Amino acid sequence: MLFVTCFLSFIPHVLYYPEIADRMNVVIEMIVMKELNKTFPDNVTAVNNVSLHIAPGEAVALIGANGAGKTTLIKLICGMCKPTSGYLRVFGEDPMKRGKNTPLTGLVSGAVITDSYSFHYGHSSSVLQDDMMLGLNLEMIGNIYRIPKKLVKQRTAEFAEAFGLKELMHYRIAQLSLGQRMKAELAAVLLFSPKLLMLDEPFVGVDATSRLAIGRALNDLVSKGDTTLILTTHSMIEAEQICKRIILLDGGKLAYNGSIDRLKRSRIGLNRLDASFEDTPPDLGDLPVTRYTAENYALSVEYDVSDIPSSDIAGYIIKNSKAKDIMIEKPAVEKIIRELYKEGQNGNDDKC
Amino acid sequence: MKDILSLFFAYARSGLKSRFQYKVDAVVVIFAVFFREAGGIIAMYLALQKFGSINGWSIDELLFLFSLIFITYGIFIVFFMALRDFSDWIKHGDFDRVLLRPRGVLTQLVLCGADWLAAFGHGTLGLVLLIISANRVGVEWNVQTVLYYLMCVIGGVLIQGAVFLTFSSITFYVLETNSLKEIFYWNMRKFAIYPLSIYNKFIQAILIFVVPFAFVNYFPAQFFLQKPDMAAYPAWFMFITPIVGIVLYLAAYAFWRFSLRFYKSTGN
Repeated sequence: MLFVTCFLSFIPHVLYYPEIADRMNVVIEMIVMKELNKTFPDNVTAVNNVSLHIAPGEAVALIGANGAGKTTLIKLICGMCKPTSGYLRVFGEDPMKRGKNTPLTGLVSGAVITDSYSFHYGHSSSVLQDDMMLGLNLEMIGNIYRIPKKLVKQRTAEFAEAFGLKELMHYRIAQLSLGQRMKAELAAVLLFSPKLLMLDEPFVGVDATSRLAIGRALNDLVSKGDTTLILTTHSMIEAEQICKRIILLDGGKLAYNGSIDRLKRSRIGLNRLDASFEDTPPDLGDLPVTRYTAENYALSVEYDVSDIPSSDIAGYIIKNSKAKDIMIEKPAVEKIIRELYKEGQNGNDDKC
Repeated sequence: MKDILSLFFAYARSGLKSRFQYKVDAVVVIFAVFFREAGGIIAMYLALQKFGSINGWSIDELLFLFSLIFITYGIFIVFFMALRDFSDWIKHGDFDRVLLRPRGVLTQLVLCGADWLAAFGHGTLGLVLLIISANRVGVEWNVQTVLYYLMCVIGGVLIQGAVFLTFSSITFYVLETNSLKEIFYWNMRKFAIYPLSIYNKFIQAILIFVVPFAFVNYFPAQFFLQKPDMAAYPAWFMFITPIVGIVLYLAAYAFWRFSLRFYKSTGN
């Protein structure tokens, strides 16, 4: 009852004071962007009229070709640079606000960029201090984020096991390889489980086993629902594993914003079936497939699963011919994205 | 406050542990700093043997003047090392990390930059000079003078801290401040090695009003030594070092807070 009265008493204020409306957004939205623009002094528009919302606990993959504006967008969210125009709120507050009690640094939050690409250029927005040993670094993070010592020890041991960092605890961060460093950074991040985590290319330079470990750790983090994750990557496999939603940037513009599933279904979501035969391939005739090509001993069919299930086509082929081998491929997100890029570029050409 | 202290000790512990990972290297650094600075003083000591005194200041009195520079600098680099090298922090993106953590920005910079090894080097040298010179020049140590000496040391550290805090704030606008530091800190420090009264009016004005090194060592030293050349300055200059330190530091802090909002991340 008290709750309801409190809530009701808020409503008139919300109507008259937009700032309070902003604050109420905090409950609902982690990040709110409206017509956000960022143009650099050399007239390069890195972010062009982007509007989007990200809810707390969501995991979002930020995809785009090199120079599409992903890193700039992350920097804007972190308050590392100022938008040229537009509206941006993180935790309901302006990220450019600096100091102890800003939304990004407040006790309940803590955002992180891990920009492995930039390591090469000597600029890294990393969690770890270069000239300190890894073990001590993790202890320091425990101190800074006020995590109980016992918990730090326990979690450190956990991550050391999962990421194979045990032997590296006595190394300084500067001595680690790119992949080791990335794993160390992630272990550090997971230690204080931030409310908002931004990872810029976390899989670069990481070997296959560690990729799996990192992917699993991120999945766990996301499934707990306390962390909002924004993941920038070129590897769609990991993006698909961890994130349900995808934001595609192209030349600073929003090219796609929605679930990966919907993207697969709505865009060229065609399955592909390849079959080889001992003699001539069958005539598919009146089956509702989108297109097919038949050669001497091979057949390639593209079709929409909502028109005809894969089993029907395969069954038809097996019944009507001597099939040697049948292979069915689901639509690959990579391919869809490549198509989207192409469309975007063509579109741009038209305008010019 | 207790919270900040515990963070300070945690940083000190992990910083020292990291440095002492290579024990020989760490010890060599301490001695290297000590002998590098001591070498300069020995050279000057030998040169002064010829003159006997500068503007009425004997060699021992000059050493007392020195000791204040080294002691304050030794403490200064424990707390303000990150501000001394602040443009590197910005260039390497380390400052971004500081901004994203749930502690005060300046608190973190002050606590985590400490260069303990160099501090040992400078501090020990300062103490050695103080012990050698204080007896010979006849400083009378009692509760009042010891207390005032300590306050002057704190004031001196704060003055130098304020100077670098100002440089760091300027870094937000121009990114590169090394030449400014060279002119306004390192060169002024070289001037401050000798008694203020030997310089012309222009340099004296700079050392008193612009980069107030005179309050770091000359005026406090006058309090203990009472040399006749103090007649050229208001007598109360001898007593205000702690106040100058606090006021300058607060002013520099206000400027820092104002400038922080102009920071833009570099890179990419």
